[in-house]
Amino acid sequence: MANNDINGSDDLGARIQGGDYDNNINGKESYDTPFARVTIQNPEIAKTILDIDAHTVESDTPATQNLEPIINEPFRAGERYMGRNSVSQQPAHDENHPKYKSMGGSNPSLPRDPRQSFNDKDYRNPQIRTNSDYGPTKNSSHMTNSLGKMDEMSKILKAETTSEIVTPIVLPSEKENTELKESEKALKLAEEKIASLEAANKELGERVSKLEEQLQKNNDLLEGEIEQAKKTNELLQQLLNQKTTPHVEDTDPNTTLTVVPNNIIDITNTDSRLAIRPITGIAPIETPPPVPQTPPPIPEIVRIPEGEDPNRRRNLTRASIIAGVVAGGVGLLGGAQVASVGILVCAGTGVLSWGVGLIGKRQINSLESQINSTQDIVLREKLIKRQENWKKVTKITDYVKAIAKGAGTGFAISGAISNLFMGGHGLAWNRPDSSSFLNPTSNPESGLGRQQAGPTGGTEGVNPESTFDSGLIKDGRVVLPGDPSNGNLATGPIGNLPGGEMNPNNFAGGQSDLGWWKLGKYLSANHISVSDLQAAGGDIHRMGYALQENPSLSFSELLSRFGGESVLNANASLGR
Amino acid sequence: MDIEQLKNELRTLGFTEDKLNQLLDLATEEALSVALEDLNRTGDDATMEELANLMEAQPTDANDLTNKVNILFEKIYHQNADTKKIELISSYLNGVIEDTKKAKDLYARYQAGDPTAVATVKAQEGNPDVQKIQDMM
Repeated sequence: MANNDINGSDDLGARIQGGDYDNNINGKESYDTPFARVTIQNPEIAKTILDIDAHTVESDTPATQNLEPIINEPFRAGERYMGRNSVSQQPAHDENHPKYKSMGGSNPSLPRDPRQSFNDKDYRNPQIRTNSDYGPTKNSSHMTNSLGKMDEMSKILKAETTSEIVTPIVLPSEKENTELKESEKALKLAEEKIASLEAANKELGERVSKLEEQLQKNNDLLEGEIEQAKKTNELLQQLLNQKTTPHVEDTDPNTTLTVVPNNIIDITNTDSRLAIRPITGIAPIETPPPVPQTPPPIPEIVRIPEGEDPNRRRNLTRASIIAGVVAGGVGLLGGAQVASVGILVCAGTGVLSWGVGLIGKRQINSLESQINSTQDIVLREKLIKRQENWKKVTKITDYVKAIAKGAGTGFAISGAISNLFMGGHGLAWNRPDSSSFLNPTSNPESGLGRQQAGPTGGTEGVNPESTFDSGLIKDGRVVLPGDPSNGNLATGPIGNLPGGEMNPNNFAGGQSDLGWWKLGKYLSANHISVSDLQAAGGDIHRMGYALQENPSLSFSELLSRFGGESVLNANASLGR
Repeated sequence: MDIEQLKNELRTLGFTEDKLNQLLDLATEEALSVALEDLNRTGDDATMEELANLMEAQPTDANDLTNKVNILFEKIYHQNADTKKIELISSYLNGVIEDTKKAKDLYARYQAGDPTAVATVKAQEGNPDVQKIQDMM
């Protein structure tokens, strides 16, 4: 509560007086609390307190107006500090002040504030003495001491009160109360739910335990049954052994085998010298009804109707290649077994249902139906345009297929398309003067036409320096009957990429072509035939593969690694 | 696994170089079919027009055809064109490897008298497609 009259009758709290105190409050905001006058040295805090005070008192007058800075006044000896506003200057109290109103101070019949200042003499009660009854205040040494104590007390009070005031106690609002109640309610509900879940969990645990017990019992029963079945099997096996083992006695026509209804087999042979003891103690077995034997599913071969899928040729070719490999791998040459392989390849691979179909064709058909069904002229024109474009785009497949059929070269070289596709260079058409491969007759002297001598012209293209025929290569292909490489390309380099004959990309048949061609070249140059090399212990197959991996290997290196070195010595002695 | 590794695996299974190259050609045709399917699905009219103009003229030589194929793939797969080519070829070769293994296994079972394999052969006797394959072998 702000108070102008720090020493007046409405001073409700303790007074803090003394020279030190005055010095402390010099130029600072002075503030009265209900219990003490304290000094707030921080203006911001002082303002906060004032705001709080104003809010609490609900005064119409701003609290700051009631607060005036206390100017340092020198303490005069022999006088009590009465503050800047003395009693004579201020009324004893302001009855219009809301504080007084709340205290009922305006009612003259009632005593005023019980803590009212003793400076105001209450004549209704003569026992009460006022300050004036004690006469003027005297200055003494005791006074100084007491003032010093008061100063200390003021410091304590100042510290305590400041901290109490700075931390305002905010009572919970109605809304907060409601929220609190709701939270409590939610908490209660959650607790109830937890309790119910725990109960359910417990119940579930009990059920699981029961089920486990049941399962254990079932397992025990099953194990017992398995044991019993084993024993039964053993007994049956014994019976079968007795039945299948021929004995002279068993073949006796007098022997009878009787299966009695209780499953006990009674064998009787009146002339037998063997003591066949009847088997007893076999408990009847409940045999389960026979499970009908379902034949294994037969893989379905999906037939593609003729002419419906243009990819049919591709799929059939793929199947035939695979079938050839499978049949070749098991040494089949023809006949019914090869036919079986063909069927099995179809069944095992679903080969006839392969392929995405020629999407271009399907798209054209789809567009055709859309064009026929639409009534929108604009859309119709758009679809017609797209159909025309699509027909042109799909020509690329025809161009590529033309290569596979040997267009431009006169002969088909396998791998040509893929070389073109992957390498960006058609190896078979890689000569700088190649042209018009789709119409070779238009330029018969072009490079493409001249290539035909390579793969079809025998071995002369392999090693022009030597005419010796080693027998390894014939018509541009490897001749090694029984070897997996038999029939592989060995045409020699036909491309002009960097690296020449050391670069497999310059060969129509890639690495394989390079390896075998180079080995053929070595053999021709050294006048060594395949049969001579094999007779000398040389492994031609491995030599060819080694050259595919490392074309820079010399012939002597190959001989030293894979045998046949003696053939060189033999040739040298013959003067070849 | 790159294409060279796949080729080596095919060699191990018994494919000669010639057969291998035939397969690669088939793979290339298959790759083109797939690319066209993708073009059909994703290509707009402008791309189609551009490619139509490109393909209208017959390629003059192998380089021209290579160029057309490359442009087709670049229009469809953009910067992934080369990767897509390898992916498609690899996928095809992988399929052949798997099918060859299956066929070999099935043949072994047939030889061993496996009823499924035997029934399969019996059921397909006289199938004209099978006859065609036998003729091509």
